[in-house]
Amino acid sequence: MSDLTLAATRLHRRTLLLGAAAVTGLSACSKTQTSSSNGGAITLRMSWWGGTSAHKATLNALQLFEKRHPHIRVRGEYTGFTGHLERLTTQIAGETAPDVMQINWYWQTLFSRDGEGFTDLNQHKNEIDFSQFDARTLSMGTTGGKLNALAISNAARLMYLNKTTYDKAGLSLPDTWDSLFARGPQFKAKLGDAYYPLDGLFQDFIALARSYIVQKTGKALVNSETKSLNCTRADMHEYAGFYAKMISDHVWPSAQVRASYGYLPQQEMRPWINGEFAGTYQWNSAIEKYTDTLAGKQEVALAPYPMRPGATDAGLLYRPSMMFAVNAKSQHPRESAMLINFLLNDPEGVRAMETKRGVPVSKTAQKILRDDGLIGKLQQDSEDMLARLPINVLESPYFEHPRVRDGFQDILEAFGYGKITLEQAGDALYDDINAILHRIIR
Amino acid sequence: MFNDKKIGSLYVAPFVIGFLLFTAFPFVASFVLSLTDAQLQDQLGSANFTGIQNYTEMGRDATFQKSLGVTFFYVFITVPLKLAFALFIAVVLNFKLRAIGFFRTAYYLPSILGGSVAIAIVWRFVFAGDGLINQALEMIGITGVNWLGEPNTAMFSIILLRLWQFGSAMVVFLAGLKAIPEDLYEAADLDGASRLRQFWMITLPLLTPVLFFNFIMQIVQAFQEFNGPYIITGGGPLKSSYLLPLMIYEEGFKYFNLGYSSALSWVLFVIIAVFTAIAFWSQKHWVFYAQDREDKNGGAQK
Repeated sequence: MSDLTLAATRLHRRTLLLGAAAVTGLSACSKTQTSSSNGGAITLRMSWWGGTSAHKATLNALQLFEKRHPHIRVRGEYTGFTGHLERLTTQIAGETAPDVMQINWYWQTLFSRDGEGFTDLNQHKNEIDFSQFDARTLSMGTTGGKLNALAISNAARLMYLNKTTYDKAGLSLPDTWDSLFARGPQFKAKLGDAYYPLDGLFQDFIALARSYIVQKTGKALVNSETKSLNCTRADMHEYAGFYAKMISDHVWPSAQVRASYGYLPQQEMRPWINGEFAGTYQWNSAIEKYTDTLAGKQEVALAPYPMRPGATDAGLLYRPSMMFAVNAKSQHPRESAMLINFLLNDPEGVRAMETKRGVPVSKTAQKILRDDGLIGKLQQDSEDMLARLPINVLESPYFEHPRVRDGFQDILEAFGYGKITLEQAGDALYDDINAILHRIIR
Repeated sequence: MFNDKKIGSLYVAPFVIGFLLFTAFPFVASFVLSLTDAQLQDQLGSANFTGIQNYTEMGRDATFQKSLGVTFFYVFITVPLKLAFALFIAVVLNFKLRAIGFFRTAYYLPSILGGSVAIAIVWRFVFAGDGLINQALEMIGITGVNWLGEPNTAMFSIILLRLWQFGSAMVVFLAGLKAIPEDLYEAADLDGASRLRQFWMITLPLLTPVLFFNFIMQIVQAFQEFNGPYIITGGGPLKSSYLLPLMIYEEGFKYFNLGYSSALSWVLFVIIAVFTAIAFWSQKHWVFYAQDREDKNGGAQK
């Protein structure tokens, strides 16, 4: 090798090395800060999950916010729901979480058991107009006296039925538990084995059966204080019996039928898409996701909510569906609070966000969207029903803990596959769920 | 400014840093975590040291025992079947056929697609109650099978997904077959040995180093299978396809039990290590290296 080429090689090597060093150096110090400010300009980070239309609406709102406040830039970090919690958890544990986070109500129990996990929004009364939120909404975001999170919308599980299929069978939507049970054999007789009046994942069923039991007991199903179920063993036997009857009466597809489609969300299952599984027990804030996938022209209607005779509470899981919270370690809590107020209360922000996250709880936002005719019929029906139904029981967030949910599922599935008797299922629901609650509530 | 040694070190630095940061550190950290009650959402500092409690817990955990049994079943069925199938196809594709290039490509294709998420989704569609297989069966008048809805058949469909990706093992076998000298077969032909006998007496013994390599790779991969059960069955029904990697994921990222999840990972690691060690130990009994033979012959001549 001549000296010249050698020198050239050396030069080459050096350039390469510098490049490599730069890359390594960068990655070493790229521990992302929650936010940054340079030269007076502030950059906030905000994360959320949702579908494409929610992403577009939110990005649009963020742009309007930036226009209003030229010294603030907002970087959106958005994903679908799957994996979002895992991502956020890792960020919070690694202290790289964004300034503003969209969270689920029960995530407060994960990240802020003592109320210290998020910024106390009460300190930002100048930035956020709290008068737009009722006391219940504010209390659902408060832990240990600290306002950790502000609800975007409220949600409850309601019964949405495929009216097209019901019409095809010549049947009215059920309005009592008895008429719901009667629809099973009627569907089978008029439309055939493949048709069911109601369907859902185990987690949907678990919530439906809870409502049935709560209508009887008038109490939350889980008591966080005693770390146990708030009902008797007999109630859990009734819970198991409710499942058995739903299956045997052809109201809800059996575990085997559901599993035959593989591990799939309900709205992606062919029988839902073509109207054979003619109903879902679903969050009102998420119902558009389900109506979106229906094939052709099918209509979904809100069914009257079934009540047990003498029930004083509908037993609904009624709570904020999504909330905004501010990172406890944010460098710019004030600007973050301004952003939240813009998205929830400001006419410009509210119009940009529309009802992509459900009907807003903020009174002014609701009025703006209603005046603009932006609230759809199904959404309006759901809001009206929630205003009418007796909803006083507040369920413990631990009812929705994945471990509890899977506990219910394992038992119902074992019964569904004939591995245990109805008697054993009732006992297991009482004993196993109590054991799980005792273990997870610290 | 730089001498060669320094330049060399700098060249390997990105790898070393990456390895230390993303492999060695998590490796050690997961062991430390496995001795604690760490929760994913908490600050790591707040975890309590619990000794071997996570490991003893597994003795009482019915889900773990079920998952372990399912995992062993999966590995013991898929590894031999996949090796046998890959070897069979490799032998066929080693014949001098017309358009052999096309066949080799066609058979390798599934492995390029691999165990990816997209393929698992296709698989779910193929085996669904109203999926491709049942539609085909119904066309010829056979009642469909509830592939994903019954514990035994659900496992079967997951197993088949793995067998279908035989291509990479096949290519390694094919390379091994090519390396066997032709003259051995010619000599056997002259002696009147049948094709089958040639396979057993020449092909298979000379292929054992390749077989050994494939065996180890398949064992390691099969124990780590995740995509198939995660996407197709979600581990069900009745946890019949709840492989250990799926349980590790759910413990860590669904239930947030970082400590227990780490302990499960270590158990899986030890299981894989033990099987690999047994394979290495056993190879002196069944793996035939040309080098050994020459050494032995050389030794005898002396």
